[in-house]
Amino acid sequence: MNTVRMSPEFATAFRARLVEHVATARPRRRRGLVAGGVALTLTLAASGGLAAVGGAFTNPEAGPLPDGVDVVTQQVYDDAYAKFEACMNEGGASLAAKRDVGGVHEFSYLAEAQPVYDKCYVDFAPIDFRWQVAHSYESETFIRLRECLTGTGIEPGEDADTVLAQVKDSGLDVQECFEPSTNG
Amino acid sequence: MAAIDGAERALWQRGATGDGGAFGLIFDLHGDRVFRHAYRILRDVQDAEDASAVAFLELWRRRRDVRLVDGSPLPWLLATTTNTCRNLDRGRRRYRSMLDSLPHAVPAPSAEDIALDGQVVDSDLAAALAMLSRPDAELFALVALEGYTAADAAVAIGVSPGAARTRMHRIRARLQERLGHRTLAGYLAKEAAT
Repeated sequence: MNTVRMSPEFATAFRARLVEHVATARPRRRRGLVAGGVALTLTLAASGGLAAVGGAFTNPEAGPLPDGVDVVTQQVYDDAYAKFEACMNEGGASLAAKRDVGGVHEFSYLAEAQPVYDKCYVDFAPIDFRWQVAHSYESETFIRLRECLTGTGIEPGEDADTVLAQVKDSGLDVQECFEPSTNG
Repeated sequence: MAAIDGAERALWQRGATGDGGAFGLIFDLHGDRVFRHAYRILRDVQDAEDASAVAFLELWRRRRDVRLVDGSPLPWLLATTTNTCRNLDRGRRRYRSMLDSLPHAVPAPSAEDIALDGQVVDSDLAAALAMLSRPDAELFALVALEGYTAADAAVAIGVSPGAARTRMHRIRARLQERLGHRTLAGYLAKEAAT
């Protein structure tokens, strides 16, 4: 099928302005409450209900770290996650489909549990956010980008910033990197 | 449907916190899709380019409120694009200085445009969207045009899955009654079958 695209001139110019716009934006004032977000949806076979997957950052301005916490260590992250999970349980909203992806806890919860999630995630958000950004190198996203670089003969850098720069400089078609594998 | 399959989540995490490079890759991933969505509604390349640009700028401005579906902001982007197309003048006013500085294509339809016009553009689509409220238009565009399930679209626009299904039933009935032409009927029949 024919496809229509933005003109290359417009796309190139806008992309450059967008990157600059984002990179130079001043921090905005934080709101008092983190709006709980929904990241992934899936249908739970057992319940047939819609679920959302957490452990998936939504709010980039998730508030300051708790008093006494300067660095989010594994222990800090795991303890905060345990409190979050306990809060969900107390609210009658158990987490489901829990898994660990690159050191990040992922989970699902029923859509009807959204109010409980919103209440419980507020305290977990600052820690979860910082932990996920710090571990982006091991995320599925960056694993695919690294594989793409390797596939073109480029040795991926050792941190996420370097990988991003390599992808940009290499001119890789990012869409192809994220398409499902066709070789099994 | 979702080729990206949630693998872009880390890009969003970084982009939404001010990493311009990551945000640029999000544009690389979805710029074409967003543009096609806008073109489908507006049927004008320059307008569709502006609507696409506004959608990505809104993605940044409203980053705290973006709801991801399968780890991707694409459904939110498409819903925002739908709404931007309905109020393009307002979107242009907000970002006038940036949009005015961008090089638009020569406004002559290419053979490609003409071919697309016959394939995916519904001449009554804009009229159909204009009939609907903003949330209904966003929902309709995601489900009937972009192929998302009502449940996934519900997440993107911030309503419950049940409410989304109820709304789609109402939208379908309303549009079929008012605009029951062949192409639109095709969209609706496809959606109803899922």
